[in-house]
Amino acid sequence: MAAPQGQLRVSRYFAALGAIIVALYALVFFTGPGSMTDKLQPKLGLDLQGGMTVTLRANTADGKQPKKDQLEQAREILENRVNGTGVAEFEVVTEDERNIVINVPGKNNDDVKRIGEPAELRFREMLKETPDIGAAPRAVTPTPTATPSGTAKPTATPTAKPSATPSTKASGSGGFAPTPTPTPTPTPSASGTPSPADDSTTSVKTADVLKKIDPQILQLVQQVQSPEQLLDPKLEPLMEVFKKLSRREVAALPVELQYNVPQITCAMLDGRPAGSIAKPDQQVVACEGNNKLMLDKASVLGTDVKSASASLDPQAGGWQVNLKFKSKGQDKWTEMTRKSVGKRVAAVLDNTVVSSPTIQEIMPGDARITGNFGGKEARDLASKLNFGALPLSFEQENVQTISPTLGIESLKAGLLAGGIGLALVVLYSLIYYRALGFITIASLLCSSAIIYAAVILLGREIGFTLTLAGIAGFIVAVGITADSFVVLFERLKDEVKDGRSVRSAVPRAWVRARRTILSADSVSLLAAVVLYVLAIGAVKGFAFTLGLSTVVDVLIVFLFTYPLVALLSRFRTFTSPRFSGLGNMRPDNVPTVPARTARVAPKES
Amino acid sequence: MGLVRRLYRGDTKIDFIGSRKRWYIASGVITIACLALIIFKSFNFGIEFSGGNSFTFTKPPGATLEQAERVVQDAGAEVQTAQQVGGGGQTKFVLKTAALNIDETVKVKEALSKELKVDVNDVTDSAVSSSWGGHVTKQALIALAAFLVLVSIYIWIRFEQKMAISAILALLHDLVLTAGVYSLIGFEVTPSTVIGLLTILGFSLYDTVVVFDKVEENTRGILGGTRTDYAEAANLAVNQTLMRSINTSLISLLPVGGLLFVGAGLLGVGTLKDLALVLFVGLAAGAYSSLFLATPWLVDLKEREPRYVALKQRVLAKRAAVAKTGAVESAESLADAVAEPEVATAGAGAGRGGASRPPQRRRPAGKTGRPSGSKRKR
Repeated sequence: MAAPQGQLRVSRYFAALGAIIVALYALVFFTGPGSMTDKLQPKLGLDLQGGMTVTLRANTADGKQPKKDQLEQAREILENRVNGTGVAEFEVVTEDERNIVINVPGKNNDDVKRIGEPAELRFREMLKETPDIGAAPRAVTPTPTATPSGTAKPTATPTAKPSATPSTKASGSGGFAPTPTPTPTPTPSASGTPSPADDSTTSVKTADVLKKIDPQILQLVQQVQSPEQLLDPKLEPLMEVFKKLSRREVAALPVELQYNVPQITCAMLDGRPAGSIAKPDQQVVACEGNNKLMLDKASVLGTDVKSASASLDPQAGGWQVNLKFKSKGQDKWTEMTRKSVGKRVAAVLDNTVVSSPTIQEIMPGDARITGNFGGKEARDLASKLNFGALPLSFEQENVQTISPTLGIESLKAGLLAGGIGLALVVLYSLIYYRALGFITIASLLCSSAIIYAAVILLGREIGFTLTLAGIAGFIVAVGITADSFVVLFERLKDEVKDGRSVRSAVPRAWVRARRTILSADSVSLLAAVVLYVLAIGAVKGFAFTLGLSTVVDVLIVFLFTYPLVALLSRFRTFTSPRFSGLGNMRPDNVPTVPARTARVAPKES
Repeated sequence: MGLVRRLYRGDTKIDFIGSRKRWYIASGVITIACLALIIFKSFNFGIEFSGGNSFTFTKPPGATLEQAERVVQDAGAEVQTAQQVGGGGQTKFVLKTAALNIDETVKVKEALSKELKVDVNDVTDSAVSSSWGGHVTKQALIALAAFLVLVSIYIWIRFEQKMAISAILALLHDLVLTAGVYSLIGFEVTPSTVIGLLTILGFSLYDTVVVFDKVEENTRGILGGTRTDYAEAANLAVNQTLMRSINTSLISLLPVGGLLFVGAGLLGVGTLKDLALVLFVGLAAGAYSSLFLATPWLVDLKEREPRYVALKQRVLAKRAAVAKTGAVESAESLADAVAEPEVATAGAGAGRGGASRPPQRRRPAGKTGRPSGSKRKR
């Protein structure tokens, strides 16, 4: 590594780096849309430009990961639904094999927040019905003969009559409207908030829940035929345990228990996790207004519905949702109505009964759902049914709305933090390394230029968005980048201390520093990649920028810092003690020992 | 030479290895204290773990926090905490409430806009299910496990098994320490914190890897000689990389300090603060452990190997012999001879052939940690 060779190589390194930078910026300016200033604008994340992020998590009955194609199908349906709300530039992406993330830039849009509400429609025959005794104060028992609120009749045959008029306060209500209760207001436990008990991710096993219950009570509860039998005040303290069950545990209880135990209120049943009663081949319990309904297996599903529309019922004046079935679905529907003539069939949406009219006759045509809903609810329901029942049920895990003003403030704060961090590092390097500090600054500038271009290009090509966490990643990476120089400079000092001239020390220091830098950067990169692949949420952005910076760091150290140090080491001014501080490293009582004359032995660091 | 100068030159002779028992005890006590804190005091979890809603908006002129709290309360939400964060023109109110559904959220926002004249679009709100934090954490733990396995394999291949073990132990120490500090001070734990904690992994190991790189270099070939044993060579490595370690930690801490200043000082809440805080604490712990724990552990592990036990005996025997026979001069290198003629004796020639022999130094500056051995016994 003699000097003349080095000279040649240095220019080659710089040329390579220059070519990379020129190529990057050529791509920045000559590809992509918009004016020059637009092209220099990195794609900002929602937390920096304002917008909304909704994270939905797929729920599966067994707690396992959903199938890939199901998740993808759900994503497409959700995309259609968001599209239906008329917002622009949104994106719906899957994350982590289980989550679907909806990003909508700009202003708050409350409609989008509802998008993930599942619409699993099931038609189930009603087997029996009981009032929700537990929710109401003991003395008051709601009208035992609750009347169904809606009708289902073939639009084609006007002869079909509603089994009950959708009037009277005692009747139930539509699936979405707040429940008008016939009895005194329910206790706080009925307010719809799920019980505070644990809400862990793992699915709850029925056996585990039953273990929580006193065996004697359990036996008693399992034997009774109707909830009235459990109304003994003496039993009450023993039954308290049911009130403490979490919503998942409630869902895991056997249906007979859900139905018979008065302490399991409608509020608790409604609060079961989404999709708890979606399985068509099981009997389920669901509430309509203040009545618990025991329902048979589902024979007609939401997927059998071809299209749904909301319209005003010309006769009753209320809103209704009209359903058209697919051909197979129509067969199922006809078959079901044939079997259930004279019985009630409940339209169950998710965890609640929308309406449960009595079937008057076989219906070979379309159906409609009426209930106590207004125009908006009817349209919502229709749209949910239209865009397809999701193949999976989702729970809204995280909804975040960032106002555009806060976004800009965050961006400014992030840039300020970066500026302060960079300034501190620069200051420190100048104090500590003197002239070598300038090399640090030049290297940092160089790497910033590359990273900036990379961020713009990645934003265009793979949709990478710069988030606040991402900015934090870059700032943190300043440390990593600067550290590579520290390693090189410290090695250089070691070599000079051994009596070498700065010039001859550079190649030797480089060989050793290179190894260290590569090892250390590999570890950093490994951490970033693992985080990026496995973590969820905002951190992906952090991991990405950290990784990107690490890669750029290697590039810069190889193509810029080292050649620059090599180049500068040829100038006497640079190597003087006062300027670079390296001269200080020479042995005290040996002013200058020519490096060549030193023997090879002290081959240290 | 002053301490700064010695540090600058890498000439410090701090006996990290010799005094390792002291550090072990100190770290043991701290680790147990941290674990106790974690178990008994637990953490101050953010709404991402408990579930709930939060509303953040710029403080309207003249409005007080109490007013804002009352407005939200009246809109039907149960306010759990109300905070005023940030300073100057960026003062913000942060109100956290029990879980609300979408309609209730809209109602609160409308009430805020009506009563306090806040633009609805300027209210940042988030709703988090109580399981979100759990899911993020679970995923983080999976990432942690995967990372530990991968990095162990990497260090194993790149260096050796025992270095991998010591590095991972030091890493776990950093994690526990950071978690303990969080528990002690009661900083809010959010998913960003959990992730920040994971990033410490990278840093902590980064630092350790650099020290180990030097240890490996210093100890390569020492088996062939009688000059120095493993502990001494390792101690020299720590001293030689001391300044670099301090520099690295400082240079990493400086930008994080900038983040912390802006995140905690100006914004008061959010990703920046959460990340910066945990990184700051973790980096400090990482700097300590790579110097005081990782290398000593490595030495403990290595010195169990028969060949290093034998080496140690050889070194001691040689030194005893040298001490007896007195000065048998054999100048080994010109530079050394010039600098310090009287020490360039022991093991001359024996340590050759690629043995990275530490150079002789000019000044004793304390007998501790003298790695090249020859001097101490005289």
